Amino acid sequence: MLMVVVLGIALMSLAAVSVQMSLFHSVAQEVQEDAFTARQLAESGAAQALARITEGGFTTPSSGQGAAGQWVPFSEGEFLYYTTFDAANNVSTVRSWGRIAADPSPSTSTAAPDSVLWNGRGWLVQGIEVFIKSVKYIPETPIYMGNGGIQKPRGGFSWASGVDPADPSTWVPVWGNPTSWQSNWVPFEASALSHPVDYLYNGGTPAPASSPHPYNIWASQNPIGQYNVEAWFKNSASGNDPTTKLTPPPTTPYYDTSDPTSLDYPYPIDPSIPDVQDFADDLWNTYSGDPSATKLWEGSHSGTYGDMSNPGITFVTGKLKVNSGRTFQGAGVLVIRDDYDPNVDTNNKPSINGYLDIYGTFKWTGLVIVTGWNSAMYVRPGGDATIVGALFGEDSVQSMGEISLDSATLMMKIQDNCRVLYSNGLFTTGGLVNQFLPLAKKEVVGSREI
Amino acid sequence: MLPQEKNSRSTGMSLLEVIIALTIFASLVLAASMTLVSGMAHRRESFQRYLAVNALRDRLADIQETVNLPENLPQGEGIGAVYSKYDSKNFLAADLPSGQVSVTCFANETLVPVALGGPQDLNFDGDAQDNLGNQANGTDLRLIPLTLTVTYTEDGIIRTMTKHRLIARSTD
Repeated sequence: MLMVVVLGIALMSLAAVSVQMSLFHSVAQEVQEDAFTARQLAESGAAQALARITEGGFTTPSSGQGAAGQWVPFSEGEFLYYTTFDAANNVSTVRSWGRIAADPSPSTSTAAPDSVLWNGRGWLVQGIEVFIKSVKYIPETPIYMGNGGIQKPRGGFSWASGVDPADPSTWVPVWGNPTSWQSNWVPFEASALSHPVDYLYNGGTPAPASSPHPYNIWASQNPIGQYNVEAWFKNSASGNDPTTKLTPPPTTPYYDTSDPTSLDYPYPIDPSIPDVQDFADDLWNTYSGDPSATKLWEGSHSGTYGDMSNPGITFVTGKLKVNSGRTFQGAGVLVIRDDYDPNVDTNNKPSINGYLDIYGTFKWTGLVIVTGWNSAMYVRPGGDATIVGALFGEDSVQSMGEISLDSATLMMKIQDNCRVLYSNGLFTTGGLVNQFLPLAKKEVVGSREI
Repeated sequence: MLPQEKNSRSTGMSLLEVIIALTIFASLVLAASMTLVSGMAHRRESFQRYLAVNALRDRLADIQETVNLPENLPQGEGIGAVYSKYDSKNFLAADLPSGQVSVTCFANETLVPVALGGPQDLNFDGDAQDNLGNQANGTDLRLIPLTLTVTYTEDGIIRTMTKHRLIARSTD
């Protein structure tokens, strides 16, 4: 009898141990699941911070209000993140945490878990630190087209049936309604300067760098843009060699005219070019509230907007017209854009378009951006345009219910002298407009648990 | 003779005693067995929850990889492909009995649940009123709220686990 009782107790003990182990295992699993949940919260916060940095133009976003970050309810718990910015290296560091209650009455601490004020009683916390490197995009050719799509019926090209945009041998004269303007003779110079920043105010008309020079003529984000640009020049030359109207012609040893995929091609595809619309939006978001920025409404304007010792940002909403006999000049960044505001407008179309219409003299040292819906650049007979720096152009097209950032080529109607002379020295560190360039390229370069 | 008879009777167990002992023993064995079986069920359940978490983790990694790829909508790559590729779709969770993961992508800014921060600006155009739930506009998505639910069967009982997540592109 005694033996039976002893055996029974031993058996029960074993069972109890097993139950305890199962319970322990179960609790451990539950904690692991909770940790997974907290981890998702932390990563959600980091994702929001990352999106705000890469797309929203922020360098130091934080959750909730204030720079320190606040706990924001999300799903089963809360997340908190804040960001520090290393200006010397353009690195944003996001510290993000997720927390879920592990106790019925957790602490009411509102501090970040890396603060001395943090009281973690009753919370299960997971954290992640993400490093995002931002890089300024330095233009390296005179002219940039955004995504460079084909828009109908105006702006860029409308192709006849049977035309393969990828095959120049199938190209026929441009058609559309109205007829595309690219059949005009184009006294156009796209070149580089050997002396980069001494044009408008420190000297006379510079001569373009003598051939050869190491800069491409034009760059596009994708092949469609490249086809458009080449076709533009081809039609500008009445169907002849699309390089004949360029100064200097891109036939130097620096250019590989045999391979359109080569970066040495005169009109290379450069996917690292930022979206021009985004570029302009970043500038608008950053500087439109700055008292030092000049904001002009559409219409005829003349005068001087910034100089070599005092470059600035000038925004024009709508058409910038330079009348015959008048001069519009300046230095810094000039942004010409439409008035479409996605916060207000619901008709998917701006009420006024942004374009540059030159009957007189236009001179700008720095960066000129023309973008928006149906954007264009006109140099009328008798007009004269000189840009020392670079020209960014992009036409945002209507797409599936709203203005899309996927864009077509800027319309260009050049009927008199137009020169775009690339100046590397303006854009590199210490250059005239380097300080104004948005941080266009942003990428996660590392992350770790904290 | 009498003492000897008395001794022999005192060393054995009566039938009644044997029955009582066996009853107690059987009860203890039964109780122990039930406890062990219950414990094993607990362990199996927690192991399946572990597998369920892994299934969610795998699917999230898959979605993040799609988001990070360069935009190629015909190939189902890039952030613009996420809505059409994952929303309202079920995916097999191979290690779980009858396991599958269902995904919901909230691409309409006005319909993002409050629990996920909605309504929310998902394309960073300054408002929270856009419907980005189609392939053409999906390329404008910059932040995607997701709900993932894993469903599996355990001892004939259907179990579910749901997690929420914001996801963004981490390469440029």
